[in-house]
Amino acid sequence: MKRELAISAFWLLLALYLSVAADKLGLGVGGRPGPGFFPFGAALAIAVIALFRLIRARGEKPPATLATTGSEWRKIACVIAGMTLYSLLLEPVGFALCTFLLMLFYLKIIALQRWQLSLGFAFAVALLAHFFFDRMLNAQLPRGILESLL
Amino acid sequence: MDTLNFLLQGTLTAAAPVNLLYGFAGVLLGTLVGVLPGLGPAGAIALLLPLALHAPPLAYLIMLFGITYGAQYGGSTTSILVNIPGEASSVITCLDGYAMARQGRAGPALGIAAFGSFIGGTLAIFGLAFLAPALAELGLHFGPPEYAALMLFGLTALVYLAHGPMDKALLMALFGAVLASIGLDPLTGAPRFTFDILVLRDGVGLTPVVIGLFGVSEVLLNLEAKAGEVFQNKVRGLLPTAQDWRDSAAPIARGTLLGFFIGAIPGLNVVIATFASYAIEKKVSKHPEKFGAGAIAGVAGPETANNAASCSGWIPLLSLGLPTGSVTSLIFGALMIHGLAPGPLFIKNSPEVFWGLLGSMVIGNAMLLILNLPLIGLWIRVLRMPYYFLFPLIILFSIIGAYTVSGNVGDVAITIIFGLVGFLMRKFAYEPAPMVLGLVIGPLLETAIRRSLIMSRGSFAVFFNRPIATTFMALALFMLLSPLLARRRLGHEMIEKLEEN
Repeated sequence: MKRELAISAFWLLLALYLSVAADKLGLGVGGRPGPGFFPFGAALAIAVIALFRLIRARGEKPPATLATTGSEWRKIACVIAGMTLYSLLLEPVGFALCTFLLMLFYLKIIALQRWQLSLGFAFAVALLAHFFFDRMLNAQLPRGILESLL
Repeated sequence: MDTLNFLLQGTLTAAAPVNLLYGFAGVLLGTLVGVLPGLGPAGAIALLLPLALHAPPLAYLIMLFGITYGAQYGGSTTSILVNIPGEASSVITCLDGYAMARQGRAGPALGIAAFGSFIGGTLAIFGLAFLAPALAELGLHFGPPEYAALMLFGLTALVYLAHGPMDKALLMALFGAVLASIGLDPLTGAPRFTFDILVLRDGVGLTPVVIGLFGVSEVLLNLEAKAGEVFQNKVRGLLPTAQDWRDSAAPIARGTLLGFFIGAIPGLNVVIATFASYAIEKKVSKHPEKFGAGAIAGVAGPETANNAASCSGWIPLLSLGLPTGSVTSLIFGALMIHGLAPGPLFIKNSPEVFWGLLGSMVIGNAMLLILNLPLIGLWIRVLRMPYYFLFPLIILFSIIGAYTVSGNVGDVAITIIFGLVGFLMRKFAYEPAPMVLGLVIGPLLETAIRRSLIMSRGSFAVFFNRPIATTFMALALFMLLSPLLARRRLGHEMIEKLEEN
């Protein structure tokens, strides 16, 4: 019930923001709908459905959702942190080195594998990914600090 | 006769070495993602979207199409051997396929699934070849109001047939449409919701969003997944016996027809075709008590239906330019990247692509039949691969996929955000498919609605005083309002019952 209220409140707030922002963009007149016309219509529809859900949620049993354990949350946080760091370091550090570090981090910290296996896997993936994407597909990935070596 | 000639020409085009190579890669990749429970065809296509910039257009599209029907083949393998459906369309196959495997009959179950898929898929391609051009001809008479009504109908149909509550699906579709309005206004060029962030000026890209929704979120959901436990290690005797064929012939024929027609209707999908086929087979069987205990008809019918539906599912997209789900939305995006606008003029303007794709499906289905049966040993090994080797690779491909679209780290940030959004959506039982459809057709729908209103000088009656537009609008309104009048949505009771089983 509380969760449903919170979710419906989120949708209502989003609809409110969108309708104000769309109005500022200009709804247009008569036969000339403006840039805000479509988002305003969508916001209105979101608000109506969110209100409908809010009214219906009162006294209704909440639907079962997939439970997430503490260890799962830790792993999810690690995956997201790894991706975020990768995207921040990609351009200054370079694709191959970032890939090596990301693979090592995932295998050692999330999958809790042995050092030898983690290092071997990370090295193999970084090498193969560099040759496949950079050399074969010419995918314009940054080479970073290893530019002179690659 | 013209149609058969065109199809023959298309098959010859698809048989060119480069197309054959990409087609082979597509069906192989499709089977692989069908086998792997953590990654579906939508995720694989999303990861491969950036490749569009480097590959020849037709060959690239042949590969993407190959992934979609290849996944149907792969999905059945895991259902039969591990009792874990690789794809939603193979859920029902678990019931009798796995029961057959437990009785030592995994071979005939896999064999009939492959033969049924081949027959259903190939016949559906012929149906597609005849029906799509005729529908496209009709589509040439569409103006902006008809298009707007058709898109609203497609969106409503997807929402109506969504797995969970309709209001949640509708919220997702609207959220997708709102996301699509970020960037420059298609008619006036005014920036909307860009917050002075450069990466948002061109809008929220389809590729980073879907990579996040289908690639990253799948990883986040499956982090605790273990490798599958294969029930039967050595599969022998893949060819069904004469009795198996006698028991399967009618279900295959019914599955083909049912799958073809259900797949061709916007909003209905492959999963519904399999559930409907199973229900019909059980109903007409002389021994309904054998269903769930290893009846081969319970494998043959749904497996045929899912491939037939997967092929005929292209009809709305290729003839009218109407994507009907996440996979067709992604292919829509891929066609747009190559400057091929899907719609009624697509077949007329790009016949080599349309017929080449159909020809490639004929070849691809044959390839899958020849390839898959001998490769079952390999798929069993893939199933045993620990997830901790797989997820870092999916994440890496997701990042590369997002980055290479425009060489901008901002797109990777969008992928991360939508990975989390997709994860939360699944946790709170919101489906991603309506959101992707909203994102893809949002700009087209907006343009069609605004042009219609300009035509009618602001009167909404334009959607209700032209026969085709009125029909689509009436259907859309019926689907939207019917849950308020009836307690249940059509067909949902049957699906829920079968899922409980």
